[in-house]
Amino acid sequence: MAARLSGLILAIALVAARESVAQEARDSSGFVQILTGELLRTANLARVADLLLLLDDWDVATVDGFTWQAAPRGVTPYQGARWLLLVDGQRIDLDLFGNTNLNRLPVPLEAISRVEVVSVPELHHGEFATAGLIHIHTREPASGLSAGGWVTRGSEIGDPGPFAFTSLATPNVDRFGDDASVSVAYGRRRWFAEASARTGEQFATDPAIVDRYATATGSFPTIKVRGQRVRLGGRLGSALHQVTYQRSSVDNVFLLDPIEAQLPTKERFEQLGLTGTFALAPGRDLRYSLTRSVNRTEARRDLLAADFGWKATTSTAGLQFASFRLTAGARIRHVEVETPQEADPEHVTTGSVYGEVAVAGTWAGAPALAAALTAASGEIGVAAALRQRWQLGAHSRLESVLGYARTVHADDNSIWAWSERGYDLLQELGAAVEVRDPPGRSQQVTADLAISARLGPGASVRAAGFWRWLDGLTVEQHALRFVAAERSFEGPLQVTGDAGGHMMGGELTAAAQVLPPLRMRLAYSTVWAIAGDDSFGDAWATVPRHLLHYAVEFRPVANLDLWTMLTYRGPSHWSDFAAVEAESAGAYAATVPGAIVLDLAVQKWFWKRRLRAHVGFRNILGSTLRYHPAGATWAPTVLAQLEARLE
Amino acid sequence: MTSLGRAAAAGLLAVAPGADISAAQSRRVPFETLEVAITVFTDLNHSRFHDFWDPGLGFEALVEVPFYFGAAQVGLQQFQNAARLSTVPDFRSRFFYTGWSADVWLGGKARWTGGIQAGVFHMRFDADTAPFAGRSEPSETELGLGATSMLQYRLGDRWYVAGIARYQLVLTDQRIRRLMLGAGLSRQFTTPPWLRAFLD
Repeated sequence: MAARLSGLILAIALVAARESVAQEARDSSGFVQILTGELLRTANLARVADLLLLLDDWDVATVDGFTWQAAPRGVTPYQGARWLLLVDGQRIDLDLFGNTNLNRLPVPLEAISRVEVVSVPELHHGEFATAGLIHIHTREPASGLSAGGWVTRGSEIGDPGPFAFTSLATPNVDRFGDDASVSVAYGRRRWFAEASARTGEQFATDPAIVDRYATATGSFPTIKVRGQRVRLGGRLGSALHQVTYQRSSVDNVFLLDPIEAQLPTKERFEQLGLTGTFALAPGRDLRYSLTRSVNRTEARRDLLAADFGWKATTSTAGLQFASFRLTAGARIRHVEVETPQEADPEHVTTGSVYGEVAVAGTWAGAPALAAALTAASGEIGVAAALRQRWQLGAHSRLESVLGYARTVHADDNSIWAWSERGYDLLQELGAAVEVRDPPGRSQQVTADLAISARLGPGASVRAAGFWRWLDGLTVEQHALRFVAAERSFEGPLQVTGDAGGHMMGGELTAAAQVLPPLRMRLAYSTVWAIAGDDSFGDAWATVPRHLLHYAVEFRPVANLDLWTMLTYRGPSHWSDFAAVEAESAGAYAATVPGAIVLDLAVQKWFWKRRLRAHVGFRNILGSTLRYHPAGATWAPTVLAQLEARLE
Repeated sequence: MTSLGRAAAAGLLAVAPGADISAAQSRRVPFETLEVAITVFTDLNHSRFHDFWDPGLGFEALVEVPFYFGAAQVGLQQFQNAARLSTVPDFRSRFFYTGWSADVWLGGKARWTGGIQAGVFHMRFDADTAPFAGRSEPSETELGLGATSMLQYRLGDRWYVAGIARYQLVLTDQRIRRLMLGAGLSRQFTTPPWLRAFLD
């Protein structure tokens, strides 16, 4: 039975791998960072979005530790991020006004087997990623009945303890919360079924945010998340099919940027997806994909002078042919948005055709050219990437990627783009917004070059550099003032729809296996805005220029892991908060200080790897760790985690 | 606490291993034995915490197994902390911890063990007392850390008596710092095969 199911799973994997030789090359190229499921277990993660903290060349910002903004290397700052999220090859439309919060994903952390992270332009599973991509792969079920569960409890240090009853009392600290998930699966020779559910809550009680969040929620500020996922897969004839239904619900506190309002929201997401692959001949297959998702948010309390609500229904259909050297496909995507402000839903429809040709290695290297054309509302968008790889020696190679992209208006999911399409919330609220230039069609030209060498068993080094020209970015500039009563902010907003400039940066990674059980990895990246208008420079100043990770994993025996990571995040400057800094007497400084953070974890497997116990410490040095000028400061935190896997 | 007690604790903390640790550990196969210990503790120092509470005598139960290097521990320590002021409630503290230790035979029947502990310090306040009035949360938890120095003397094949000094730090905003002296008794068992298979 196990062998037969393994055969089915292997067939799924082979079909996916056969999509093109270029796809294989990308998987092994230096431009894709891969996080394994083992690493996600070892590295002190509590929720899915925590994986962003492990990325070599992405940076993150958060106010409350639940909703994270991410900025891939030099492609977009936190504002207007357009990076894509895929789970098992299906695009997940979690984006709410330009923010994709991984913690809204219904997929539990325990289900993840691998994560691919792309920072350069490339065609990936039929999606042309011009601004970064994260692809989460979930674990295939084992043969027969299997089940799993995962519980995480975390707490920051610094509670008042018994001193709460004395004159030495300080506010209570409950900033981390609990998370749990369960899954059950059944695998047979020709089919499998699995179901999972996750739940979690986080307490937004940091002194920097608690007043705003408590005012917004009208109660103890707790963020709650629930998620469920069902997946069925099977073989019919020579074809493999998978159907996935997933949904999540979050009681969140949503920051409506244009008016700096914290809104208590109920955010719901659900998606039904059907994918399948027909094996036409050895090395040739046809893949289809149908998805429908509903991404909605609504206010839990009426705090605004206008109704706040948003429901985006996205339907996608795609067809792709793939052989060893050629990929070609087409996709149509329809987004329908309903809001209290509009009697009739707004519609956006885009059609795309794409392809990729890979050439076998010659004296000129091994090039692969990918391109996509997108049509919407009479506009044509273009994206192209030329990848080249030269083998310099037996253990060294040079790789380059040249990219160009010009988007269509329909790709823009910012609130400004929807305002242009008729979403009148901001007008109804009388928001003090000056739109200098309406959102335009962004353009980018990118060049990436990397050289890598394998120095010996387990040892490698890689150096990379990039240049980008970005144009047509929509960025916001707030002249914020401090509202002392609620420790909140307000002020007029200026929107620039055609910000642009040049970015440069570099990256150095080195890995070594000193002894069989001891592995080390160093990754340093830097990003600089070297030219551009003021709004462009201000937007990029919010992203730290320097990011360094140094991780050491020590596995003296098979069932014991010791892991540590030293992280340095450079300072960042948020000019929106320049006046707030003085008005709040420095409590909300415009410059988020750099931080050196040390994390530690110890993990032991029991009962033939059926049970796992994990104890971890974050920021054990007690550095002033903050990710946003208006956000929480993360004190040393202890995490305890238990996982059971019964297969 | 008397100066004699402090001196005893200082002596326990100051004992330095003079023998070959690896040689001592090489004799122990991971999870081969279980050592169960019961210890009575009392506080030696007087910190800010002791201005408000008197911990009195505390008890600890510990299970230790040889690990791949050193030994691994799980333990539970409990104190009933009596209020010294009428404005604060009594509370019961329980320290659930895991730890790691290494030992050195000093010659004859004596061995020295040094260890570290980390765990959850759970506090349950007496909700029936006046200082608790108006409060809703009767309990709280915080990270606790510890370092132990222990001298053991073997009695027969499997029994040990021990004198223990422990420094314990609870990472509340106002830290709880305690230096404790303890006396304990332990017995070593052979780990049942099923449990050994589970742990390995």
